[in-house]
Amino acid sequence: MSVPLRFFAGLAAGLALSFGAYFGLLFWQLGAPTPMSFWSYDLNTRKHARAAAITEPKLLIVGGSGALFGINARLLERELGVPSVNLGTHAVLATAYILNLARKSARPGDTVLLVFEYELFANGDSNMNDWADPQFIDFLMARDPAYFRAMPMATQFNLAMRLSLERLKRGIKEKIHPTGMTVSTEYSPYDAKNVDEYGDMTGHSRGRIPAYAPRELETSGLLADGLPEAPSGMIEIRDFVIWATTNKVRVLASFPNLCAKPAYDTAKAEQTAAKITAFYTSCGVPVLGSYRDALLPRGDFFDTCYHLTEEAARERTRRFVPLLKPYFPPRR
Amino acid sequence: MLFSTFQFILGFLPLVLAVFCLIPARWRSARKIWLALASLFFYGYWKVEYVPLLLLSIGFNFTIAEWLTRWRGRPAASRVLFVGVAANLVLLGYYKYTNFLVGAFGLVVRHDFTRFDIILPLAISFFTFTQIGYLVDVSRDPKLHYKFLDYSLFVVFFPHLIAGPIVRHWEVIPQFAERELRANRTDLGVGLTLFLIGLVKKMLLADSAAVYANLIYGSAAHGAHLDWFGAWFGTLAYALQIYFDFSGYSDMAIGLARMFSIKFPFNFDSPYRAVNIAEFWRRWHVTLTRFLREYVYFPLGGNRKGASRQVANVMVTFFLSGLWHGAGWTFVVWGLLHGAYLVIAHQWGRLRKRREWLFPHWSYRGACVLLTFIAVMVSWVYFRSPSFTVANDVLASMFGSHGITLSDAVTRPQRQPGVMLAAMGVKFVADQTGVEHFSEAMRIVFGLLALAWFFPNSQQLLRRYDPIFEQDIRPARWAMTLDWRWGMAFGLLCFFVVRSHYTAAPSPFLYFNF
Repeated sequence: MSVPLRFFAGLAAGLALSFGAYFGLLFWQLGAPTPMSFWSYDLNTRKHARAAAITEPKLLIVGGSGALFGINARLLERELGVPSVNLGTHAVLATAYILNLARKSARPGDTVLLVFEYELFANGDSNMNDWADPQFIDFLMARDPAYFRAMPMATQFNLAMRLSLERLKRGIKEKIHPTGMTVSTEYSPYDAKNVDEYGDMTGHSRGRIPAYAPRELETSGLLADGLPEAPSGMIEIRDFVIWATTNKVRVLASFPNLCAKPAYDTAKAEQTAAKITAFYTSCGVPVLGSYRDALLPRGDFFDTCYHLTEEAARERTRRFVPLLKPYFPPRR
Repeated sequence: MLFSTFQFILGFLPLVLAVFCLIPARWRSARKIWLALASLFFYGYWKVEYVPLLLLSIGFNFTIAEWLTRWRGRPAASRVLFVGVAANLVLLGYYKYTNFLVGAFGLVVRHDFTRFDIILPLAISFFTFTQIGYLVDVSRDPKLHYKFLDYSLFVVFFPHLIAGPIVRHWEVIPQFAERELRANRTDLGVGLTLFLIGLVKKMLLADSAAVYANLIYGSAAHGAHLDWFGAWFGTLAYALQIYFDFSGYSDMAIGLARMFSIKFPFNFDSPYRAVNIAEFWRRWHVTLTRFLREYVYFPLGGNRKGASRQVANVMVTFFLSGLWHGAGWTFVVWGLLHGAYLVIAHQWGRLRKRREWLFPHWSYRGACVLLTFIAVMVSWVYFRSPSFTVANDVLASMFGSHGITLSDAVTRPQRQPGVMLAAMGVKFVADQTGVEHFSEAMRIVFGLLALAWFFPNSQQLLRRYDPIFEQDIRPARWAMTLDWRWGMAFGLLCFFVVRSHYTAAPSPFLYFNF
């Protein structure tokens, strides 16, 4: 029995139709808000609104949730006498997107303090396949379709193919019947209403350490094992520093708070930190403090190895103020 | 380069096919040279350093075969055969078993020796067995002789080079030599369909089962005591993973060869439908089974030298089969377990024959399929486990040494059917398997089991197109006629395969390890 040409035509048509239907539905549901993306969206919107409202030179703290939980902008404003906003957000949004938020909020004369989690030095646009997770893809498609559409075609294709069918179904459902957000009465650190007017997380006190908090806080593999050969997150940071210099925005950097482990007391960790310091220095960015200053005892952490409790965040910020003071001389 | 990667599907394969078709059909040697060179590139893509080893092995075996032909009938011929086979085994032994033997010696003298840093060349087990078979056949058949190009292409032909099927020279070389080696629409269509069936088996079915098998066996390896159901479920997931993985790979290999007009023998024939263990081995990795039967079991005497000698021959054959699969004691136990199953099956067969028990009822057949499947699952525990400790722990859970227990992640004791199970004496324990959504996991794994038991296999589906070397394909309820509807259906499946490239973690074929 022979195989007719129609079989091959059907194969090509089936493939084309499948791709067509999939991408048609995917682009149609872009912008449909999903519940999972709400926290990051709400957080970013509130913080940007606060930053935009300040007209005088200000201090912006930029990083992942390590900055959100671990640095107290209210205290910095009081001690330094400079309006401060904590722009710390969900770290899954990764380096390029977080810096994009900072670009939107910064104005000439502002100072940006970069406090990136170690993983973010390695997570750039060029290696998105290695780190882009469902939450990041969900966020872009639900809350920032313009950013998604502005990405190179290959990246868009890649992210689109990685969207789960459940998420696509959810997006279509939300597009047809938006469910809105249910308001929780219980405290959750992942609820933007617990972020104050400075952008600081509040209420994450020692007494509220959740039951799901891991008994052993995980290790930052990157600090312990070393950065990759060409960390692509650094490319994004360098681009940002160039943009900042052009736009008269000063950039400072420091190390993220991290739960201390014996694995960080090694030559490898020293090398990683030295590589980061050298990178910032090569960009002309002053580095405040050492990575060891930011290694804190286990009892100071809330629910992940980067999230300090409210009390520890205040204490840590207090110790950080003297490092910042030289950059903010008292005004006459 | 894996068959399932974009480099292979969108780069290597279309290029090789296109050049193959562009070379005029009358330049048969040019086509063969092109296929041989492409196959060497395919092999070297993994580690170019091992290409000389492969070439050396081909040159050596071809020379030995030439000497065997020249000295046929003289006493020197048997010495040459011995040298040839021994050299192949030494090569295989050095790369695959040196560290195993060092470890075994260490066990005997109670010393932990440092292992050698030896990288196992890809496909060495396969190309060694293929060539040993050839040498033995040359020594038996006075007329057997092939050209060097045909022989080289037979060994390196990329569809079977890495993980089989273990093809025999008389199945493949005459197709190179006698046929016109012309790609045509039917061969391309049938080959492509088989390749896609294999791709679907690997990417969509095997990798789905792998998630649960890896989770549960991973938990066991980290010291978790699995509940009774979890242990069986993890083993079932692995049984289905390895079946769909390896039979998928074989379908892809058979399909690829068919695209170039070459028919390969089948390697799988719905093995989990076997009614006894002997039938299982006639359906599972068929080309390895027949190799071991013809080149190990029969030369040892098979069943011609009495019942006790047959038992010994079976056990030796399966011991070697275990060792071939992996240089580890768990693989040896797996092999011996199958040997023991086969011995029991032979005794049962003899008893039935003596007593004239026929058991024609369908329920007997069903019970036999189930019992065979359970026996095979039990053996997979040793195959999958990284150590005896883990294997024994999983088996202890499966055979109820911790009681008939069920993870509370499967169903809550307060809710049906938990209440009913609790009333039957099932104990509920905290989940240790690591599976998050058991209802989804059960839908997937039992769905795959239904496919393995009730769905026609790939050669049955395509039997109207003579997809394989053999003519006798078991009948099935239905078969495909490759029209535009099936084309559309495969187009849709292709889309899901492409998507799975992005959504699933890359996972190599299991048999690449062997």
